[in-house]
Amino acid sequence: MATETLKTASVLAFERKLDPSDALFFSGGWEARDSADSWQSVKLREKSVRGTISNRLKTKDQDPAKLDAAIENPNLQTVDVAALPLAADTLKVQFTLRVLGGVGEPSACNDSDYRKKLVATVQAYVQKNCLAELAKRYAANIANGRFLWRNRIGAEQVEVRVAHLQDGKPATQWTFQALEHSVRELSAPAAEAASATALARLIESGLSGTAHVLLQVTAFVRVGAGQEVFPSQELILDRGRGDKSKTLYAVGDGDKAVAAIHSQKIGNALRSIDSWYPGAEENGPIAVEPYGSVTTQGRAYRQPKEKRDFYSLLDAWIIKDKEPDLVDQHFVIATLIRGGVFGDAG
Amino acid sequence: MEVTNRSLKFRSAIKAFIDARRDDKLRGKEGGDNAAAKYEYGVWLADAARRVLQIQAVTHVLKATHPDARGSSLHAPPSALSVRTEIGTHSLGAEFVDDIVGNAAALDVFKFLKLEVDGRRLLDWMQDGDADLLAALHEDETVAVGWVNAFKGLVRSDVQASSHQAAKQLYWLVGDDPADDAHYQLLQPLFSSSLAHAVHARIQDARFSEASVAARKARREKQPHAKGYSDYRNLVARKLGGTKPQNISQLNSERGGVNYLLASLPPKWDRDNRPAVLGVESAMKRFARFEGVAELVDQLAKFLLSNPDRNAETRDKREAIEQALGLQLPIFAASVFAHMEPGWTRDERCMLPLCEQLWLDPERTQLAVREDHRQDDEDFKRAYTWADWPDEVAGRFANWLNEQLRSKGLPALGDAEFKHWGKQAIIEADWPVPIQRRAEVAS
Amino acid sequence: MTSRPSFNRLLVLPHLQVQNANAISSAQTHGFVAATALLGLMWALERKARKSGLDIRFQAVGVVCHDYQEQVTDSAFVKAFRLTRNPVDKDGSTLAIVEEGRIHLDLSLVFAVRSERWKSEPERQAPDLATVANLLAGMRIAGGSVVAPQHAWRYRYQPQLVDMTGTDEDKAAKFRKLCLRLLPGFALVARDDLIDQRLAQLQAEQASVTRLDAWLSLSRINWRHDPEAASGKGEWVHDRKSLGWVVPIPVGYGALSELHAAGTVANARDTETPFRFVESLYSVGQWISPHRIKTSEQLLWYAESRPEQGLYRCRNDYIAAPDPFESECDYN
Repeated sequence: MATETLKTASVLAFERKLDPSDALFFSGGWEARDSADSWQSVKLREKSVRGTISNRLKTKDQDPAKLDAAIENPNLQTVDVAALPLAADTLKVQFTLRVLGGVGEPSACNDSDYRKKLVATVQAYVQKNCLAELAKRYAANIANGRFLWRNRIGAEQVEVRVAHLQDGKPATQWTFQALEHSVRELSAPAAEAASATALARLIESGLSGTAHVLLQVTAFVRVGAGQEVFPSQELILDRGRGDKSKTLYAVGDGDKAVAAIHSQKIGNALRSIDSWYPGAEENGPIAVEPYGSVTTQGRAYRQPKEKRDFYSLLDAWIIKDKEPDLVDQHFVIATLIRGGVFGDAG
Repeated sequence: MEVTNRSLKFRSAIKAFIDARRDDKLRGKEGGDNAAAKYEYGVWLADAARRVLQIQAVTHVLKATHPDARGSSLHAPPSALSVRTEIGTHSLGAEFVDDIVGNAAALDVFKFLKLEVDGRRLLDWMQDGDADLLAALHEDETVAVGWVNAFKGLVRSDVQASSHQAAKQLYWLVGDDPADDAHYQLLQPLFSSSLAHAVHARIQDARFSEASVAARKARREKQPHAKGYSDYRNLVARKLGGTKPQNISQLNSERGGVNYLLASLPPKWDRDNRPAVLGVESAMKRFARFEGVAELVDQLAKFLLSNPDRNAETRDKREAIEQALGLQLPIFAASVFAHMEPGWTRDERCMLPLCEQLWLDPERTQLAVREDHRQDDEDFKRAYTWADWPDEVAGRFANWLNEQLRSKGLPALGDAEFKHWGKQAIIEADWPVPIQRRAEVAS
Repeated sequence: MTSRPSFNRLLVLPHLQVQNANAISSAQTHGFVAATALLGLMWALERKARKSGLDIRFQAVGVVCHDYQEQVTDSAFVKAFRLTRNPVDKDGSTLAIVEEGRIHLDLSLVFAVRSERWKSEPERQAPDLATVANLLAGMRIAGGSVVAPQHAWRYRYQPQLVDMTGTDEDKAAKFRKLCLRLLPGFALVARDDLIDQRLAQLQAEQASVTRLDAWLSLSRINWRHDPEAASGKGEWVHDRKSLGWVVPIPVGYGALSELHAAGTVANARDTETPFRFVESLYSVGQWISPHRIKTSEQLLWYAESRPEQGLYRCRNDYIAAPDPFESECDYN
């Protein structure tokens, strides 16, 4: 009876279950990976760059005399940059990741029938699949260093160390040669498959358990002495004239500031496990988003008209008792782990 | 209905309003008769009475919380609110203004209702059921009353109140048991656009008014000026509604979407005042220059030099200064902990005596012992737990203070004074186990 | 509940590293977590603790901020928030950005608690404390995540319980010891008294001045030229000297509507709890170094709920006492 009249709760929200910190940048020598004391924080510095005139000129500016003047008066810009010192060939990137339990438990839901059905559905999924597939993929994105973003490109060597922190101290530790892992296939090389599996199990236990799991992830990226490195860029609306045209992110202020990648961006990399959307074979895994949207591509791969978006799949599963394909179930659960506000307020 | 002079006055004001809108809209256009027909007196009013339902006069705007939120906005003017000592919408007096939400295309109806005749808005006259205005609207009283009722609907409340998941909703404990769901109420804070408007106007004035600009200029040029000015430090301008502030509300649009936020920011602990403890042979040297210390030593010296009477008042005052000085020690130590890494005393530039090292680097005892400095590190840990160092530090403080006072012209002080100064030193802010000063001298 | 808190322990979670907390504490303020959010956190924490089988009653909360980094632009005058997301909609177009303010905080929370069980089983204190710290680490503080510190083993990060039984002198001594451990930092206390004081001053000059004016006057620096200053040479002076670091803060909520019965408001978060529309109420607070606070009661914030008056308020009982031997940390 209840299922026949069941409708989506108008208030429905989930907290994110993978909660990373900002990732901080340090510099040092590849050989000094084991000595934590010898690493210096990476600082931002400002640099003036001479922009060339390449934008389309407005009609009024096309007067040759004015154009000459504009070219002679090049457009000086200040930008932030970050680079390793000349004595350091390796970038160390470090963050912590909290894996929280209670997947499928809404943080807000104003319809108790819907809530019951939802929780039961997720529980049935967990019992059948143990969150193993998802945990394996999250683990893969730690081991393969995807969270390094641009810093991974062109690196000679990337080593990722993952420690399970208990009472503030590392309990278990795994090491991965990130470049040997396939970012596309989300798979580990044979030599490190066991470690990847162990890490996945730990993540799974965090997601399904009652006590959260805390991981410390440290990546060593051998990019070469003095090379540029890439922290997050800040999004600033309404930049004034003469303001810096590129502002990079740093944690702490003054001489304590350390270049860093935003936690949101780390989270985006870790949940780049959706390889089940239409077009995934060509495009590779994308971050789990309700419409499969990819900001950098200005596209959404999971269109409602194809019924492969989160809302269509969730409604089919919970309201209409139409169990989606297993891969789409994975996607729905992964979206709940991502968290968000999903109610149907009409 | 009788047409009075006053009624004619209403009518001509309304007609002028409508005509002005017509001229504005049709200016420069090949105005067909059809277009102009919309602005005939009765036609425009009938249409306005229909369109007024598309807008609502409010004080609290839901969409300011989140542009996707759909649900109730409220009309809660100061007159409808309890008087409180805290600041809120009730604090607005006569300067209070209504905001409008809804279809921006129907805003002309609001402008119409704001039209003032005899010092009051048409809406106010309508709410009073003014007969002359009724007569001015339409010769048929039924029609006129129908319109007035529609116009009065500008201020209305939802038949069924509604919230939204994009609105903020929080649980507030009204009972005494947080574990009992029945002890809560759900609160939905709404954005007071009316209050924001008053705050915005004052801040705009402080920033941009001619008087403020002139006063600010005078101060910059160190010139006298009759009027003062104000600065709101660390003010943040948040934009509501992005590039379309009118989608949030009318007043938000008038504010250019700017929502000024006043700063509750805490002070920053002064990083320029970090005691440089490497390369000195006594931390007391740095302590002497720590914020407030020199002033307290001066005060104490002056007081003692003034030969105060030996009475309770003197003793109290003297002890208060001494205690304030003694209290600076743990503050100084905390400043060192805050900017030095644990184990900083291992640095070869550290020249402090062991007791001061233990005092200022207690977390070194938590570090693993270094293979190549095993003896050093183990001795350090042992000395820390042996715990006679707080007395030594207190002794060094007493010596230092004695020296300071002597240099300010006080005669050499004896053992009793030395002990007394030592008692004032607070060296117990170590973590986590407070170490008792063994030779504690009860005061 | 409107009574002052009664407790026998202070449960201290020092130096919590909170990342990306909501920096917008109300419709008119930014820069620190609202006291209402801290009380909400406290209630949620007690629910979790008791669900985990602990017998701890949380009564009040004090907060000390050691450091912060608000994500705002560097501009000297009016600042804007630095944003991080530029999301795309299902059609690939850029969605309108809803401006969210973020702030990283290094703060200590001091909870006033009591536990009957600890009287008979004092050995449970240490494990219970560890459980509470662990529960809190998995919670959000004003939307921000509690991030593990770099050297979590350091003394400074260890949670502690401070016994608050005994004579007033005992309690004051133990509280002072605790406060010294929370240095350097600044505690937030209430200064409601300042609004009346400022209002009286302003009204002496101009009768039409309102409480809103007095509040705003305390929220800014007021400059004027004093012809008598600088030994008669005249000088520009401001009104912040010896005032302390006084800031505008939200202190709770006032009702805008009647209390709607449970289930009568569409799209409420649940259908079992009565619902009310409210607005933020504002007052004045002060940031003060913890060593200057003499008793724990003066540090703590607690809830005062008077639904029948439409008032949902956070209270703090700080009593300002001028200290002749210490200069105020002035806001300038």
